[in-house]
Amino acid sequence: MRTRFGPLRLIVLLIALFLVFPALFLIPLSLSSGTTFEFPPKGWSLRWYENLVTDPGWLDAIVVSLKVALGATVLAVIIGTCATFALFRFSPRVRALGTTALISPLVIPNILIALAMYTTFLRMDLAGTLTGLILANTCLAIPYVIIAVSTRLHGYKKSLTSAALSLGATPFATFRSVTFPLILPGVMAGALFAFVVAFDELVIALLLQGRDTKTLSVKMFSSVIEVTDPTISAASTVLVVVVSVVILTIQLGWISGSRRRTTSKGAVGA
Amino acid sequence: MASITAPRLLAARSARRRGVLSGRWGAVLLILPAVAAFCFLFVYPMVGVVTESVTLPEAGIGNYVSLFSDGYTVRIMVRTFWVALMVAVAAIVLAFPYAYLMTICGPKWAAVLMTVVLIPFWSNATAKNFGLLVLFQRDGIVDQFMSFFGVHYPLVGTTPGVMIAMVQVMLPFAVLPLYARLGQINRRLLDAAQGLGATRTKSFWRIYVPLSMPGVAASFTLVFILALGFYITPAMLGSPQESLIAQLIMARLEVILDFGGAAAIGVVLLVATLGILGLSQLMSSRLAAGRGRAATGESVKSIGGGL
Amino acid sequence: MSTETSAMGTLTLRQLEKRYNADEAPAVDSIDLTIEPGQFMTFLGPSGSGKTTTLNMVAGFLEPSGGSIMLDGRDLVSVPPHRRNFGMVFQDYALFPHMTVFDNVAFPLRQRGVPKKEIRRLVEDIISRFALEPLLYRKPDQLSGGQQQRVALARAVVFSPDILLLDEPLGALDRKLRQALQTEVRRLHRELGLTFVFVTHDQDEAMFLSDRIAVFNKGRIERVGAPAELYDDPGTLFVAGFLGEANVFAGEVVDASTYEWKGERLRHRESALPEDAVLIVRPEGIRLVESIDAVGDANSVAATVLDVARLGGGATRVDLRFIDGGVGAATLPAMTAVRVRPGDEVRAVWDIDAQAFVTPDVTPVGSRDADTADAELAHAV
Repeated sequence: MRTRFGPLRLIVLLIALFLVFPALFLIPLSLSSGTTFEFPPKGWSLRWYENLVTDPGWLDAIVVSLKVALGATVLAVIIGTCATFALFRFSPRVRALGTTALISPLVIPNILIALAMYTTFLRMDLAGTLTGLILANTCLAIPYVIIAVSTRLHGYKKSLTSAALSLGATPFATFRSVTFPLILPGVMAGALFAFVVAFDELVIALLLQGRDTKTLSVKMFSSVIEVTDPTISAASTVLVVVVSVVILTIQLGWISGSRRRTTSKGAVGA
Repeated sequence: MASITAPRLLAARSARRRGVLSGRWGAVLLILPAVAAFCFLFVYPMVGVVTESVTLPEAGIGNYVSLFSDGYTVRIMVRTFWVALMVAVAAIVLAFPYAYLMTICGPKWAAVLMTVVLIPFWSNATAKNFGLLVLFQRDGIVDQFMSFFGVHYPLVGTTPGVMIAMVQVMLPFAVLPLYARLGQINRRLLDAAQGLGATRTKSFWRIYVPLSMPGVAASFTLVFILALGFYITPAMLGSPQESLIAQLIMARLEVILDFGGAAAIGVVLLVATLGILGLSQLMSSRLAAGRGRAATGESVKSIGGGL
Repeated sequence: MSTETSAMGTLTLRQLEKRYNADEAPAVDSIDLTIEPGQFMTFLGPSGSGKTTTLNMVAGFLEPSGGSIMLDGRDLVSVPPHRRNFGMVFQDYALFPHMTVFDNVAFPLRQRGVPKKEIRRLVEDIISRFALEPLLYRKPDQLSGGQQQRVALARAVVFSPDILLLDEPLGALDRKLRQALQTEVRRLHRELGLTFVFVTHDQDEAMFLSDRIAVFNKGRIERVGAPAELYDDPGTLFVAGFLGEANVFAGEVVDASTYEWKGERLRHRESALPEDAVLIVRPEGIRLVESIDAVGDANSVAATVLDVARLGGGATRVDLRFIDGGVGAATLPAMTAVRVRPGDEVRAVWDIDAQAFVTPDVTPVGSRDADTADAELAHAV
């Protein structure tokens, strides 16, 4: 059976390489001592990492990105979670319609949303402000929260709520002790999605940037287009490495967790 | 059973007081902020764009007239369309075997393949494009590699380079939804077909592929739309002479400050996007209607009849 | 076991109605029922008959469109479900997956502010009663179906509710497990002395467990009575067919002692028979003989044997076709010599005491499927 899929496995291996290829070169490049993006590097140095954490331009960019991402995440999680609960109370038809509508920003190209928000925010004096950035990214992030929480709510059995009520829990206590803990993983997933989307977003941030409101992505972009600044290689490497570590941890934890769960189940009788 | 000293909860005379958040009207309250955000942060700005396209710098369809007649805008739009189309096709061609293998290899390998997809999926787009830029630059790794074969064609600044880079960036967006849909296909149907006498290859092509079409169509639509409006890759790796629509809009906004013109181009892009979405919905509902029969009876019957 | 009769009361449903659409038939159509303290009452009926809807109204998850629900004369409709002090067991167990068995069972006690020590004592007490001690700190997904249902039962009774409501709790279990748990439920009822209201579509289960059965059909209660009563004297054709099987002979009342069906004259001893009365005989009341000479004083009709099959338990089932084309069956007891074969012409014989008369169905058509409408429960997630 294994050898049967030989050619398929080979093709997939090549595709997998294609997927990770570019990221691999970031690490050695970030350790280059040169001031251009030449590869292979002629010398080695940690100066770009140093620069990343000492240069005020880069530091401010990191701080702005964090603020925008945090602000947008908090807002999107609250608004999105409430909306998802509401959607599940309506009839399936209304729910489908409402969900599609609220998720629609996902299928519209970012450039359009950026264009729309830029011209609107200009008129409202929000362009170039932190608030504007946070609001714009909230709009982008809400669909992700709705999807993540919806997925969790789909698997939630209504009988759990009935059971809790029948056992004497007030509707609020039911929410607190039963419903919320069970949908929390969905809320967390939505929060994570929202954070990453807001942190990494470029096009809207480019248009809505101000003197003091440059996000990290914008700073990285301009260090390629405008002034060549190899610090971007250090920044890129950090971002990719952090993501890789987190994902690897989750995936490995998930694999060993599922192995643990399957062995414990067999031990009980009827 | 021994009695317990818990307070009796039966308060027969208590009026039925339900929380302010329960019931239908509570639901409306809960969804209000999202609806407000949707209207003010999405619908209102979008409507604003459409309005501006016909009011700035002066009222009328002047912006549209000029963009269709100035020669280069239409060229850029056509170029963007073809680039997006080819990127989407290439992405699907690569995503399908990848997602398919994920459904048939064991859970451990599926997790590995998933990790390989998730890492670029979650990575910062600007960082990824930077990495591609480094690869594709003049005298970069790819250029040096190709020089061995006597080809000196740095991919940076070229449309093919932009296309390859976009495929690399979009591939996770093609793989993930496709994998989700492929995973839902009932593989017992293939067993059934083989039980009726079909070969492995035949049952794959006659049963599996048709069943995978809705997933393929959905992934294709997603990548196509993303590629149409994509900015980062063409901006970083392309050349201004071979711009795509997003770059055009940006230039109009930031450089020329022609809001009306930018809005008009934006509207064209919006219409194209909605059109593609509508088309894809139509196709998927037609496919789904046929699928009800095809999933079980007809595909398997046609296998039997075609042997 | 001593029972807290002061903690229980009489549950009265009067003209209880649930209507979803003004132009459709109601899901529950004017139900009147009294359930005495300590009784095991079963709501029995096919899906869509309104039994689960009625239970949900008693629990407080659905608001009635009309009528009243009263506990010892106090109105219950205005009381929200979390204040009704009823225990409830669900078909999917509804154990909280993120809590251990201990926390699940302790949940109602914690909601009532019972002190920690007391909670521990009560939980351990009820757990040992159900023999679930080794599972105390497991999570529900580590338990089998039978174990989960017992934990659900424990959780529903630990706080001494007034009434225990059970919504098809054994539906998800396989046959042997189901029978084992039926015995446990019966034992639990004896020990606790609580009022049990049990919903099921399984008539064997209803017969085995109940003190009284309310047979639901299309939103109405057709008959209420003790199991044996309902079995021997079903009253309507629906109950006769739902609670057990029946051979049906729809003929005419000739006079005070004769009933005629397709030329056969059958004797009866009923004092006052309505005009449209239908004669029924249970399969176990029928025996088969070769010719009319061997019949004697009993009633009999001609029949053709369709099929003969041994049943689990030793009895033999003989499928019969009667002269009107209708089919029926005879169940011959175990250890009897069975000498008939498919195709044989026989006479189906029964004693006068084995027959009963019922009225044909008069219930309206086009009722809404009541049970699926329970998706619209009054509370939400």
